[in-house]
Amino acid sequence: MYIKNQPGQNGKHIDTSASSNSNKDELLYRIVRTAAETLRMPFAFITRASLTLRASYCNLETENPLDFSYCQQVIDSKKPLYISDTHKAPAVSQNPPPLFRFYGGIPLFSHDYNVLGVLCLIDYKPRRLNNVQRQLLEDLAAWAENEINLLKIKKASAMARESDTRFSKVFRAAPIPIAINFLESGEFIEANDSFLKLTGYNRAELLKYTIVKLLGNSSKEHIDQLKKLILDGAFYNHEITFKNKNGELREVVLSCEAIEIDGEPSFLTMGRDVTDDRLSREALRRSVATNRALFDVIPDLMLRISQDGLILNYKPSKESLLPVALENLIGCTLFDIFEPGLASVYLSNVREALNNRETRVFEYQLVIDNSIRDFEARIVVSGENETLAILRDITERKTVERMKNEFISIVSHELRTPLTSIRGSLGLLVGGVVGELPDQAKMMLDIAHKNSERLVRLINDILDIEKIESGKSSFNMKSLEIQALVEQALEANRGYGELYNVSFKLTKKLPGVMVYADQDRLMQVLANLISNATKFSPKDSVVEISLTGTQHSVRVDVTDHGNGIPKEFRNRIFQKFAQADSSDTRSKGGTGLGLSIAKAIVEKLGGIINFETEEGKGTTFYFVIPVWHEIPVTKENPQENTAVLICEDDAEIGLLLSMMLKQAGFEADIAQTALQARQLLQLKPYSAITLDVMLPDQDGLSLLRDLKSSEATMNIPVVMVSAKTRSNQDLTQIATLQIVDWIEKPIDQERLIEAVQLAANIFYGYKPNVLHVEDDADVSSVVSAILSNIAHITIAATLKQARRLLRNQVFDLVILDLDMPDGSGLSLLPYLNKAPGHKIPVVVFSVSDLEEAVVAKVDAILIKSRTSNAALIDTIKAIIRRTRFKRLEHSVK
Amino acid sequence: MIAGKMLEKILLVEDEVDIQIIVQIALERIGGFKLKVCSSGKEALLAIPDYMPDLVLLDVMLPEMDGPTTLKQIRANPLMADIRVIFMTAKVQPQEISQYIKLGAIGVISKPFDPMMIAANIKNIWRECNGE
Repeated sequence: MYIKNQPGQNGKHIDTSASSNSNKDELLYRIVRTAAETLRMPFAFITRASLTLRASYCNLETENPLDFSYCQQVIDSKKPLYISDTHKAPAVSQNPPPLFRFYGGIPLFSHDYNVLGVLCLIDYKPRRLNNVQRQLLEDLAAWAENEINLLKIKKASAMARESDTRFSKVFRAAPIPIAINFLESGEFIEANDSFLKLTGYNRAELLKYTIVKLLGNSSKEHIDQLKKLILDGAFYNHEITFKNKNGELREVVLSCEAIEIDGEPSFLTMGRDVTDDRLSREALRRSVATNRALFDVIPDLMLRISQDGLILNYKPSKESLLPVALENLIGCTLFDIFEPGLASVYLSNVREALNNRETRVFEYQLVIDNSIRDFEARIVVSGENETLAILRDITERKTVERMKNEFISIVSHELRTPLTSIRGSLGLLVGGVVGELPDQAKMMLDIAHKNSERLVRLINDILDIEKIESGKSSFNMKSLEIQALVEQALEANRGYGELYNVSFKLTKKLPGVMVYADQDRLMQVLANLISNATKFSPKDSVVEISLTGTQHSVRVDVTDHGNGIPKEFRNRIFQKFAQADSSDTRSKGGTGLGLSIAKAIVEKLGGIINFETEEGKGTTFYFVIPVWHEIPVTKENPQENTAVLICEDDAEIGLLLSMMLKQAGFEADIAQTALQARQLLQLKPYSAITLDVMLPDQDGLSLLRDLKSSEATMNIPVVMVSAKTRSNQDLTQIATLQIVDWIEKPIDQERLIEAVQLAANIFYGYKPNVLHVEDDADVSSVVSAILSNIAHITIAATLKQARRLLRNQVFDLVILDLDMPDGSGLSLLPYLNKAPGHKIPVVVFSVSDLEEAVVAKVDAILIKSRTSNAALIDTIKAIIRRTRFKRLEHSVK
Repeated sequence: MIAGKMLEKILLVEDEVDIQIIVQIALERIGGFKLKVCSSGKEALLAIPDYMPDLVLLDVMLPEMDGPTTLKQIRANPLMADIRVIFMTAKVQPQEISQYIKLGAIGVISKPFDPMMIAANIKNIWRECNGE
């Protein structure tokens, strides 16, 4: 920086770029001029703390560079500095000595003792200032100092004013209601637009108000709060209600803060209008309350259940629907609430529902407060990994159902008694037993007789369907050739067809395909479909029957060429007493129950029934039932070296036995005497022995006793083959001598092979083949583990799977769970009676107790939660033993 | 078991008078049998030793002593233990029928019956029992 003379100006006012324009600095200029002139200095100036020139005065014509090193020294030391001759003083910087010789600098301070700058004097010749001169300079410095500070304040207040304006704008436009009041009087000093909007007053009106007046009655509490302001400085979120200018009640939340305005204690109020919030909250509360009330009157218990069986939440029921009384169910598991069997049923249904994303419904019984109650559980998927279980007490419904069924049964029976008389009397009269009747009387009697017959059919049908539906009807299942049955049905109904001039034609045949069904019941279905088709066929038309099938199912179609089924009637077709036109009941002579009975029967046979129809063209009713695969009697190919010793004195019978056994793949040797038998047994290992009771040299039973007491032969199973009927004494022998079977002459080959096979299997450590029908994987794996030592276990998780297994494999025992996902385990019972005298024993291993009717059909019942592992093993062993014994009894009959 | 035994005399045990009349007509006029009618089990037990019927047609639902009980009493008395019994009843569910057979009845005729056929039905059951 250079000192620059500005020519043409009186008094040579030197200016610099930094302070060129400023009128404000006029005073400072006057100070430096005074300093220079009074002390006769060629140059005086004021710097800023940043060492830039603020004001300067020069009465020389020079362009000498300025050196601020001494100024820096003044700033650093915060003390005045006087240098008489710079060339003699010690150097203060790296710079060469300045051109000036004298230097005098006084620091200028702010109020807070920071250096704001320096007032300097310089001369180009050495000088010395006396005390008066110094004092003068310092006075001038103090003046400059004062002036600079004043300027600073002015500037600050100008900035403050500017910021006030900005704040004021924000204040006014803020969306939050804000007001400022004097604390003492409560008078309004200022309020923003939001606040005005809240109160409904304009600014002028409001400024005449006090907070007390504004808040009215509800202000008291707020005033109390305000009084505390002096102590606390602030309070927040105080909720009050007041009336606005329009008289509307407004609910506000106020926060106040104590401030001072021009020394007066005041307060700032910020408010939030929550009136609308409250209204919507209230509306929500009301709606929630309504829903809650609606929800609460639902008598069901609702449980939110996680996939692990944990209760997440619940809606209690008025009456207890649970076997336990728990204060709070949240966090409990199903196993805390139900006994393990039922809990497993719940859990498996929960998982099944989640896996298949479908609603599951099951029923069960519980004893609650000493009474048996029926429940229905509906498991609905309610989230990714949770379900809602809706538990309902259906005891009444069940009771009504049972009462209805009983009622129907009783009423039907009671109706039959008078009907017996009516039908009987009419039958005798119409039959001419009491002599020839006049034509008119005969015609009327015919009508009465015909209708009494219809009434009988109706009652029979009602009873029939009730029996099928309630499961009281027992099906006599056996394997049947479906085509033969269809042909038989066509033959039986041919006469009926002739009445309507309708003929029957079997259009597609399926010879040799077997089904497993009750012959009479299946015939009933066929007769119903055929007679229906006949009734609705036009005269001289043909009813076509076709048989089609897959490996697993067979479909029977019965097609008529009638008018088809009207649209509006189609979905009622299988309902009871459903006939398209009620007049049909009379004209077609049906009871209106035929199709519902057919449906009930087909469903009991594990099939489906349905129809296809086209108005004006005709209708096809069809049913599909599973195909039955006959199983060869031999269970598996006999193992190598399955040698059998035949002890038989009659050479011809011995040869016959050996032929039969060899045909089945056994190796057989014949011993005609006990001695020969002993010799053969020493030569060769046998895995089974057939034994005649009469041998020439020894009684068969005594030989048996010998064999059983010798270590070498005691493990060889024995089948008795005898012409002698077993006596009571023999029975005891059999029990003690562990005979596998007792076969009578004449010999049934199948039975013989079966018995010998069984014997060989026992010899080879054969384990009984057990089918466990159980949908809960946890339960079935436990049972498998328990029984693995004594049985070979196959698990069926669904009834469908079970039926398939039963068709394709032989089982010695079936363990049955009743509550299966696709129905009751009991529906398998007909499948377990494959061959006469060869019923597969059944152990029900389920949650609930059974009805007496069911108890009679099965061999043992184990209740899941109450059965120990040992009991399970014992029961199953006992049943396998008993099964052999049963067969023994059967063979002796 | 007496093979080829002829059926001539029948005793009907039935409390409904109307049904008595119908059965009587049906069996006497159509079947050509000789018939005696009793209205209760007790009456039947008294009548049998005198009348010595070949067959008893026994209703199940009878006042005081029901049909099955009556049958047990008949079987318990050596004088009439061999008399054949057919139940005639509206209670004909499969398990009920098997119950009657277990008790020793030779057959069951279900009510309501066809009066024109009842004699033939009885003859059939009789023949079957004879092993014909």
